Amino acid sequence: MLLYIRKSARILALSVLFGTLFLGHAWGGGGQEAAPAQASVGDAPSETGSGMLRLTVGRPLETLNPHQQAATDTADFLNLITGKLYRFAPGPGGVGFEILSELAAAPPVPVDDEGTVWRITVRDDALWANGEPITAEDFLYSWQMVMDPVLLNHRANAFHGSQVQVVNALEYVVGDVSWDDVGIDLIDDSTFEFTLILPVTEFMLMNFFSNLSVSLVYPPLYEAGMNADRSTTNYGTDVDRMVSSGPFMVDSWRQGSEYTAIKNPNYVFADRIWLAGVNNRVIAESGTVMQLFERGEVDFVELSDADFQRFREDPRIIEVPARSVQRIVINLLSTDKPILQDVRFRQALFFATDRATSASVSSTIPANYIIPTTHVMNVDDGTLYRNTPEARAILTPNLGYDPDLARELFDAAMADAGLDTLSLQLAYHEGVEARRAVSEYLQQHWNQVFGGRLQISLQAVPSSQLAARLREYPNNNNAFDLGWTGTGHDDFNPVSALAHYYSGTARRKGPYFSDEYDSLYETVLAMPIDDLQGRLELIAEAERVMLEDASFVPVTQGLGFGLASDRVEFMSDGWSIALRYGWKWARIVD
Amino acid sequence: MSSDKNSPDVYDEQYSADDFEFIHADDVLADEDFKDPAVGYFQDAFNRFKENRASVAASWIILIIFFMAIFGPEMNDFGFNEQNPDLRNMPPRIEWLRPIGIATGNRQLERRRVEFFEDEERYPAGSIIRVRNRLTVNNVEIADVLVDYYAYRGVEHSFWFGTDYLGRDYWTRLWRGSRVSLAIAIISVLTNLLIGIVYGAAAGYYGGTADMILMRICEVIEAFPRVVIVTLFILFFGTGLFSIIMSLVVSGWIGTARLVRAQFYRFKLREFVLAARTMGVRDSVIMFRHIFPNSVGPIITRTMFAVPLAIFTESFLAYIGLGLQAPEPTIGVLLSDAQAVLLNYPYQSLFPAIVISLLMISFNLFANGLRDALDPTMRGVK
Repeated sequence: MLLYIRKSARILALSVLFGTLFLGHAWGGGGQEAAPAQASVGDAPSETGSGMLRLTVGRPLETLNPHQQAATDTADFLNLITGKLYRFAPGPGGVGFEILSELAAAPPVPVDDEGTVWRITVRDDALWANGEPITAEDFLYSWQMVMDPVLLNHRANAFHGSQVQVVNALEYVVGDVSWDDVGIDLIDDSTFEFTLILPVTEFMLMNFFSNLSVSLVYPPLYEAGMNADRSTTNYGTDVDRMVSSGPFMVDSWRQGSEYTAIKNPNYVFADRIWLAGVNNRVIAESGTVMQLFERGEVDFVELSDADFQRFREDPRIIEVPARSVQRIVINLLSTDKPILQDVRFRQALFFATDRATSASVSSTIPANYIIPTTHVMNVDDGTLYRNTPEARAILTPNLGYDPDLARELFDAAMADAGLDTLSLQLAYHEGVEARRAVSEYLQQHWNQVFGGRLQISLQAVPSSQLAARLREYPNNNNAFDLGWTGTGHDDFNPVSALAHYYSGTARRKGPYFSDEYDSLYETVLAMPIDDLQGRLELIAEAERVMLEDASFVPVTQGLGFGLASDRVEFMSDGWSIALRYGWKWARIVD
Repeated sequence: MSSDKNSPDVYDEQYSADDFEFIHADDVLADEDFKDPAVGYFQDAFNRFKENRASVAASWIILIIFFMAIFGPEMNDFGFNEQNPDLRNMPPRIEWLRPIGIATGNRQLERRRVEFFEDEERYPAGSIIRVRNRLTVNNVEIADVLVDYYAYRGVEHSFWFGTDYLGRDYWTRLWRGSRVSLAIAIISVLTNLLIGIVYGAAAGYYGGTADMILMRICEVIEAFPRVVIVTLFILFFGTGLFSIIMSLVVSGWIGTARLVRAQFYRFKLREFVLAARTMGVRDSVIMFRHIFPNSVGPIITRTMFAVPLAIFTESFLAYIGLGLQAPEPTIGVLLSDAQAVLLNYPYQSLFPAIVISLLMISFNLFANGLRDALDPTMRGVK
């Protein structure tokens, strides 16, 4: 059986839970409607599929080389055309998701008891879009090239930048060891053995190999595109300079304006692909996309806050929760404003923040937490971290809004600092309307809560510059007072949400130092991967320590909205982690 | 000594005072005294300006906008930054215009679920005016419904120009924004004027090598794109009045300098300048007391053209995200914000667009009229 059957039962349970939790709990309130109607899967898809899915993207396609992609739009397209060992797909009956062994013959097999050595066998019946067989050598070449120390690909950290860290991967990238020393070995014609630094679970490994950065490139063209010193390749710079291996294959690419993929008849699960193809038009102006959608020329439009207010009761509306919490970083190293070092002052800002109103002016979710609602604690039963009793227990009531306590803490801190009034600058992302709206709201709201004694001036800063300011603290203690940030994490690994605050993590956005926190983080990393309860308690404790220290003021968690055309029939019951809406599995019902 | 017969000595020898008599001593002179007071340069210009109806109308519009910019924000009870998050994006409502269908406070809610129309918690009694475009999508009946939005939201007082994304009164923000835009324009234009006059006067008066060097400096400064300049200012000084005004000033004075330089080239060799120089008058006095007044007409005209240009430039900068810092509004900031919601809340674009259009047209017509009035060669030209 090609399908990864063994996990079906528990993934079914997981999927049901996701469907219930995601649509009913955090994002489904306030009169929101149910997910799009579930597909009634009838006839089998034809060889060439039926119906073109018409989408728009904000930015042109960067490349067709998965080693070089950076932008989300590009990644979405490459995910259609690039083969992987494992792939998320709608679950049985359209409920939740399952993981297909796409180019792998079966799930990973553990070799040792610790979970650091694994074997994966490549299937022998997979084909490139040009009809040639996909081999284990193709994978080996792809992985070696992505980490190549001369090419220095954008995704060169593929095998050392996450929880799945292959032995000597980093050392190979920086040129300290040879390829033979890297913990990836081809032990027979079709089986790899991976030696990892940290223990992982079977699910974590499958999730890892569903990433685009460890997917396939076509070796002959990759090699043919190399320059003389092998420091770059033109692979993927044009339709003729790559070969597809995923559910779809590239049909056309008019650089800067439009690109299309059509169904790949050689795809292993071609019998699950209904679409004839996916067309992407590059249209940056959201108003234009909305007009095209209303004229029936595109099948999906992302909604701005204003558009969401307009269409909020439309049954075609779909919601996409963000994977990060938007929070205000407080510069606790500031020497210009030493009061920021006072935990009472920072807590005053935390408790003075009216998150419910902040969320309402930005159409987001109020967040008095650091780890977002999208994180799964237990993959087997689908338990979300935020829904566990341990995570709930650390949350302050009333979404952390307590103006009386805030004033009390503020007065004490100001008195000790000998200040009557204080002026701070809050830097926000230029061009992000939701962030500006909340910043303007908090500017006035904090001023009111603290009786006019706290003056906030706002500064719009380009995103890259704001991130640079927040990271400048090792060299400049006064690069900012307050600044917005938000960082996405691995949905299936709540520990990844903690890594950002660990003092050993490089390029952190904002200073945060706590020996207690560091100790908790190091402990949870070293714990057996299957000690779920122990990990949960430590993660919750680390989050509590961080919230109490109030170096960050969490405010909202993002929430996206879109309208999907009723000619699109989703094969899943709604949004879910990893799969999202599963556009590629949808079908057109003109 | 020469015997030139035209020399005064020759006259002295040939004629005496007795040889002359006043032949019209007892006659009535043909010339008559002016009965009207003398008309000066500016009075003459004003008289001719008044004959240009378009310019007069434009000056009245400018005065009205100035008046509203000063007093408009005080005309109701709302502050320009007074937020009311529960009343976001309220439509405009002006009671005395409602009967003719303008600023009614109504709004069409699109694709609303028909099943909720009877629910008075969602749609208070009397709030629904009309239902149309009923259709069924995904087995749900939906329709567009026109509602009295104030009744729908349970609001009694009127927002004349509606509210924005934080429930702030748009009337107050519009006139406050107009005030800030005008202030930016006037400050930057006056600064440009000051720099331009001094620089242009020096280049034009001294000429030669000094002129060559000064003009090359102008060309170098002018070569920097304005967006680059404003970006650098914002990078170093942050967004705000200073950065915006400086970005308008850095190269904005060059046109005035060139104009003044040309005027100085035109007048510096005239006899009255030569006379002043012969008398030992200092250069600075010659430049600004004797030559400069002859350039006033073109400079005033140019200044009037520069004001709308500065407002437009500020709006452009705001439009590309380089505007004034929130929550301070300018016309450009309001337009930039409104553009994102043009299809949803068109009134937010309409009002600042009207104001900036009127300002642009009026200042241009006003400047045209001034140019014609201040140019003596245009006398009698209709």
